[in-house]
Amino acid sequence: MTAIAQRASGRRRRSGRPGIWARLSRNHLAVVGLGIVAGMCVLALMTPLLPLADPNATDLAARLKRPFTDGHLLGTDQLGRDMLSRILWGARVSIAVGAVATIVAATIGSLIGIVAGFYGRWLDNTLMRGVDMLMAFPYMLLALAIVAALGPGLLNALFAIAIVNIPFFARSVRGVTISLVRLEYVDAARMSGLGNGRILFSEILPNVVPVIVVTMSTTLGWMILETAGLSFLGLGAQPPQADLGSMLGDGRKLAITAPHVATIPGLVILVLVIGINLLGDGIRDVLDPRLKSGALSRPRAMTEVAPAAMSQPERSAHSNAALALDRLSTEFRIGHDVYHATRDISFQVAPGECVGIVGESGSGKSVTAMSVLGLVPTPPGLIAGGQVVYQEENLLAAPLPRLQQVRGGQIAYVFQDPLTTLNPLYTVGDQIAETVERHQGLSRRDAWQRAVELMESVHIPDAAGRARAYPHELSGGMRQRIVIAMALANDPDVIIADEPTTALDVTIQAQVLKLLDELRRKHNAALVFITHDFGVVSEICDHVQVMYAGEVVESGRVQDVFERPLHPYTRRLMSCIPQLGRGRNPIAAIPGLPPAVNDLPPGCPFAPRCDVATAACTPRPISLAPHGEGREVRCIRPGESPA
Amino acid sequence: MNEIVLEAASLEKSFGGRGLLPWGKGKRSLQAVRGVDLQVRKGETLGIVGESGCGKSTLARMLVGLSEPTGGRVALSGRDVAEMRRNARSELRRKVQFVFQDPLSSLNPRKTVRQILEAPLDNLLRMPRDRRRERVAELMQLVNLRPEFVDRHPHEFSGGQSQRIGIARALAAEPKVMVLDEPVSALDVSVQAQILNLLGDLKQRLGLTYVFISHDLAVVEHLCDTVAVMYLGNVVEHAPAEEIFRSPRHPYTHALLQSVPTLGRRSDPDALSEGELPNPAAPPPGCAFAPRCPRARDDCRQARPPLERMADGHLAACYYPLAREAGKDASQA
Ligand SMILES: Nc1ncnc2c1ncn2[C@@H]1O[C@H](COP(=O)(O)OP(=O)(O)O)[C@@H](O)[C@H]1O
Ligand code: SF4
Ligand code: SF4
Ligand SMILES: [Mg+2]
Repeated sequence: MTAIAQRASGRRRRSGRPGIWARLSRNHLAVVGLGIVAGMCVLALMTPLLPLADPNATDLAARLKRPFTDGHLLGTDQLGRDMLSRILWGARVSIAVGAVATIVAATIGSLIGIVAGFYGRWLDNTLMRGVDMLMAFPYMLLALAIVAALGPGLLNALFAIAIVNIPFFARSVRGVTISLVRLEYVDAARMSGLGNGRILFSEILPNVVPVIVVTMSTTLGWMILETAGLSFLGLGAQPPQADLGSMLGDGRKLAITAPHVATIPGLVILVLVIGINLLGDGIRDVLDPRLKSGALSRPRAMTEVAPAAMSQPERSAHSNAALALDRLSTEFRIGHDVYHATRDISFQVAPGECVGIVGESGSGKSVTAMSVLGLVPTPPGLIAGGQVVYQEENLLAAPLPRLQQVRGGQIAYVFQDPLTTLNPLYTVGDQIAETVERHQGLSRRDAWQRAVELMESVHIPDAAGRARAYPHELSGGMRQRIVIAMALANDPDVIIADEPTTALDVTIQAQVLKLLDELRRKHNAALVFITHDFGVVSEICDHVQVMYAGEVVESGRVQDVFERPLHPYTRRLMSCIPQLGRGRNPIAAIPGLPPAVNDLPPGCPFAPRCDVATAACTPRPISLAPHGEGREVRCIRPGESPA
Repeated sequence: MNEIVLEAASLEKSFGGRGLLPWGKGKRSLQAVRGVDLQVRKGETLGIVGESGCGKSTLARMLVGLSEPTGGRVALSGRDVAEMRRNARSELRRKVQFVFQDPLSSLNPRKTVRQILEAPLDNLLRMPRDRRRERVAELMQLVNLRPEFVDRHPHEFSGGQSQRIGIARALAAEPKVMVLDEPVSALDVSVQAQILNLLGDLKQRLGLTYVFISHDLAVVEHLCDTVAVMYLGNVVEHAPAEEIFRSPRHPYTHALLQSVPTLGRRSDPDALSEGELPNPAAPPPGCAFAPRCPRARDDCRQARPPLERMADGHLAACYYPLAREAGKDASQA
């Protein structure tokens, strides 16, 4: 058992996912924003120390001096006060008011959100209805009303701005809190004896903080703008105190005679708010979990293919196969690491035949399937070598239009989760009809008719009625039938099904398996069936490929492989699965974990867990070798058991 | 026979339909658990099987006092769990613990393994700090994790390792009873085998009683002494494991067993009629299984069949149960 511990945690996060600062600094606009904000803040902080004129000292003799006049770098205003000094003092006030308002709004709003989200029920109802009422008023109008009620003044403007911004915090914080409360670790904390108060502070709050920070960084700019707005209207800073908004307001009347009086504070507000927003967006991108791990970079329409994988197949090499994979290798390049997700995968499927690909998660089953039609996301995916031969053509070398013609046409996919294939906004009938229309150019009515026929062919009761249903109105099993109907729409030669029944209950799984089996025989389609379940393989497949750490370790006729597994991995995997009907038979676990595919040993990747490994297993790669009729195995001691 | 340690009587749970305002009350509620009676004896492993949405997890959460029943009661060694939840919560948590399905989401990403394991030691057992350190090391050893992992965060672990931490957290309270909600469903088969063996081993060494929830019949057969089969919020069959797998009496249990793909045997989708799963918010009258039951007759749709004794220790809720041994072929692959 200690072997498990020794394999420790092969997941080195740091290599793949750089830290917060590194990611922020990659976003050039955010860096510009950071520069502006930092510069402004330093200036604001240092203002009292700078050798500036008194911002409120009037000198009517020197009024409305243009910028760059002696002693007044930015000129003077209508009362002869030094503009530079007023701008700096004013920016100081504006930033301070904006920041304080943000903190007040964030504190109150987050408190409301976290309490509402955590306690739910009537407390949630009451608090959130109150917040909704705040939001029901036009934003600026509400602020005006609050200042009108409290009386003009900078402090009251601050309160008004803070209050109108509370809903933004309350809502987003409530949202995350609700999703966190549902997580099992909150229940786990309850089971560990923590009370509500401690759960709020030690389990929920730390995970909510990023959301609060993001909301703060994206609203600060607005709040400064709003404060300026109130001051501009004379409701914020009162004379003679300078803030950017009141300066703008003062200058407005002089826009023609002395444009600099209004232009300079206007420019400062503009630059400041842009800087804050750029920085805020950068922070959001870095902290928002949904945008993490490169989800920002949209993948291309097809996987990048290395030149090595572009060669054309030799004629008649795979003459009777519907689809043939030949030494297919796909990798992912993340940071400095190369993940060899699949290596050297070769197999073929004949029409009407079913080939199973079986293995544990991460063994490369899905990547194999998706490589066939270039569906592996790039970046980071790259098809590094091999061929996918369909009708004497290497699909890896095919241009995108050709691939799109084949996708959903002659080669169709069925995925584990039908909701990834179905669009929630259209009826299922529409979606099947659309597939038919696109590939066969039928009229709308004929296509709809065909859609209903297809739904009947997958045994959907009341197909004509169900065609008008939306995906969410159907059960999981029905949805998967719809996806199968879509896959059949254009009479495909090959169906690739990736764990199509894994999300279904066993009784439904049995029905869907029967359906797939019936269809491939009726339509003489080749079926590539991916699963982690040996029972399912034995149920539906003729041949099987067993995968481990990105390689096929053994292949052959299903019955042969299961009756007499040759590779130690297959043998041990089969003996660690509880089998129905075997009572309380002990199961023998395989110690350890599969290797990380970015750090593979030179020899057999199964060697550290293998009970018949020898010194010859580790120095160099083991090749897949024929072994008896129709079987292949990647092991130098096939079929051997420990003494 | 051993004493009963955990008991559910007419246990019910409905969600929704209880609005704050008068007009909210009319809303249709969903009854997730509809009158369950169960008894768990000291030292046994009770398996609860059923398909998704049949109320397994809702039942499990009520058994450990994580949620409050809307009807009926749970008793722990004769004491009402609802009452303990109010007055003796930490005693309740010390006696019965829970292992969650998703090994990753059941661990707070911001805490170290040590913090996670020390929480129950501190809050439930009031253990002094130095003793806690020792105990954490013991717990790590108990679940076969290397002691130096204790200062790592959950994301640094694989699924199987995370589940070991979840088990260690539950064991920290030194409970008598453990309720495990699909503890191996999220794991790969080879890792699943490691965890199953660990659970069997721990049970022996610590004299635990398990309530083991799973949708995987083979896993339940491997691990459990008695099995309760749930369908739409009800227990429809309850019997010793050997008995239920050899000779299921309820047509649903039979259909489940026939549907499991097994090496060397074709599954039989015809053990079920092609009817749809019923909507749990609007269950059919009478036997909930009737729309899919090949044996259903008219009177099945009138009144719900009660859970009745079929043979020694074998309970089933069906008007036309299968004959004894009829399902024999099902289990002899
Ligand atoms: N989009 C991706 N980016 C980076 N690595 C990936 C991506 N998709 C899959 N991988 C990696 O490729 C390997 C094989 O994955 P996959 O084919 O999904 O396995 P399986 O389907 O057998 O569970 C794994 O190590 C996985 O982490
Ligand atoms: S090659 Fe060696 S280490 Fe690999 S599976 Fe065969 S015997 Fe085991
Ligand atoms: S009571 Fe009737 S419908 Fe229900 S399971 Fe028994 S035979 Fe089938
Ligand atoms: Mg997969």
